[in-house]
Amino acid sequence: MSRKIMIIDDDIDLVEAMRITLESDGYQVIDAQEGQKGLEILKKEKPDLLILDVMMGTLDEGFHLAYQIRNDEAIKDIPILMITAVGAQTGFEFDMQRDEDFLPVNEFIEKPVNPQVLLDSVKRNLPVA
Amino acid sequence: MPEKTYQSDIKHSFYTPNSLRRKNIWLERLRWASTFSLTVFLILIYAFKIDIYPYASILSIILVLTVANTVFLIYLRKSPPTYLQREESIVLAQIAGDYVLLTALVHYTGGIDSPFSFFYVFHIIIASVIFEKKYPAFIIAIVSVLLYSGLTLFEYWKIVEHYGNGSRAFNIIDITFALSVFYVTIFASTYIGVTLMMRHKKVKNLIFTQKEELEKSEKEKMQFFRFVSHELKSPIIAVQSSINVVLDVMGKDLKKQAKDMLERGRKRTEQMIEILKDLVTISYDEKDEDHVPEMVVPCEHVPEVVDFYRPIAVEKNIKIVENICKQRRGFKLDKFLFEKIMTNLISNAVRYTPAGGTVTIKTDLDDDYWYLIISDTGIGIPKEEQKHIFEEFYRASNAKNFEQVGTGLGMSIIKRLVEQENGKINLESEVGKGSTFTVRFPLN
Repeated sequence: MSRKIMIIDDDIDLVEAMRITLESDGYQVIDAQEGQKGLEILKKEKPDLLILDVMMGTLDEGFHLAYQIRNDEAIKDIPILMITAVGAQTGFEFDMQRDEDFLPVNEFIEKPVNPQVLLDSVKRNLPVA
Repeated sequence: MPEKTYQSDIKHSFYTPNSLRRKNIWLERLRWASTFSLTVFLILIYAFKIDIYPYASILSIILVLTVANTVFLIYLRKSPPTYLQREESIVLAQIAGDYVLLTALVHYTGGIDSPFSFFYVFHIIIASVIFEKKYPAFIIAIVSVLLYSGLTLFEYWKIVEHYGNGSRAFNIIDITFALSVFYVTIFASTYIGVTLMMRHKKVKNLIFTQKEELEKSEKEKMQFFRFVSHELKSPIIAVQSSINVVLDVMGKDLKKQAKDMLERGRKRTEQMIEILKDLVTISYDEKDEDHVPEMVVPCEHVPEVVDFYRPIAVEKNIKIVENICKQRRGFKLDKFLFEKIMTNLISNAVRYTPAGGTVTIKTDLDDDYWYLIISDTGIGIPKEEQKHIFEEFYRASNAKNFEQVGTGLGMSIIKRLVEQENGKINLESEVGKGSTFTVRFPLN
């Protein structure tokens, strides 16, 4: 059975790009464009891995969502890859990556997403089946 | 004194407590000069046996001046400036003390005939420069008039002794004439001093207001920049991600020509993303960011940045030479900005160095500065273009040929960041041989 990956991102084109990439490698992909809706689907579908956009409606909606997930017994073990375009300009990324206890996510991937980078990262973080 | 007064002082006053303290110290230094001149004067009249003046009394004035000014010197150095009114009181105390001693000196050097009587003017000029309002200068002018007239009249009435051999001191017409000239001199000086100073203050206020307006519009411009670049980033990132998927995931089904065209498209979107990233960086105003400088030992951060670039350099067949950074000396620095400066410099060096070249990273330390020296054996920057290299959007002519993609913002960002941390960046370069960028940060 193919592994299930969920994408939560409000940019439909990015979702599509990631979906095609992931499907080409044999993953099953589900998605949501909005945080709370995504959380519901996440609880129902229990995917093997979650790809989450850091900035959706607000500057850090993705982070809040990640915290919610980590505090929910039923879904707290789902690995999270966070895609971010915050990158270099705020100083944000640097500190977060170092302070691992503080981090609710497993890995950061910078936008624009490079297919190979994405696939490698997914492979690395998927729990052993 | 409550903190609030101190704050409002700074905002509305022409002076701050600190700048007024400097004026107070300046007055104290002037007093040493006058003490010295007075000593020379005493030695001269003693040497030339001009015995109309009482040496002992003048000597005691010098002694009092010396002692008082020494006490004052210690006070000014020991007690830091706090609020404006206090500094103004110190100025007043200095002027009052000086007037008492000056009147004594005028008395012992001939009263109405004394060559020192015009020294009253100095303090009026000082007061018109220092005080925010006009009236202190006029009050000081009145005090000097009262002191001088009083002294002259007391000598005339023989209430106090008159020194010197002049008969003018006892001629009421001479006295009236001399006092009138004195009054005119004093009040004219006060008027001129105060008027000039008011004009000066007006100009300074105008400059200050305009500076504030400029800063505000600069800030708005930067916010606009930031907003626009964030808005532009999302669509271009979606475009690039889509191209990436086509090329990397379904590339094998594409015709070579179609692939080539998409490659071109990918390159150009990459370039645009780089420009936007740079624009975002440049638009972050240091003042509205809360990057707090902390004690940083830069040598602890150099290796990790260098290590990050090692694989990229290896891929390009470039050698990275790093002298082991041993200095444990730390100083106040924004760690994030420091890493950004280093990252940008090293990535530039790697970028503009042909295969087989070397990038060298060195650090150094002297009494005042910590240095980061990054040199490469790259293409170099033509002499006549070096002065432009830190300008926004400027790219050296040979850089464009060597590396098509580039925004011309990198160096201007580095310079900005370095200056934000009170550092300096310096460039030495020769075409074909390479470039050396030296960044230095003050240790304090």
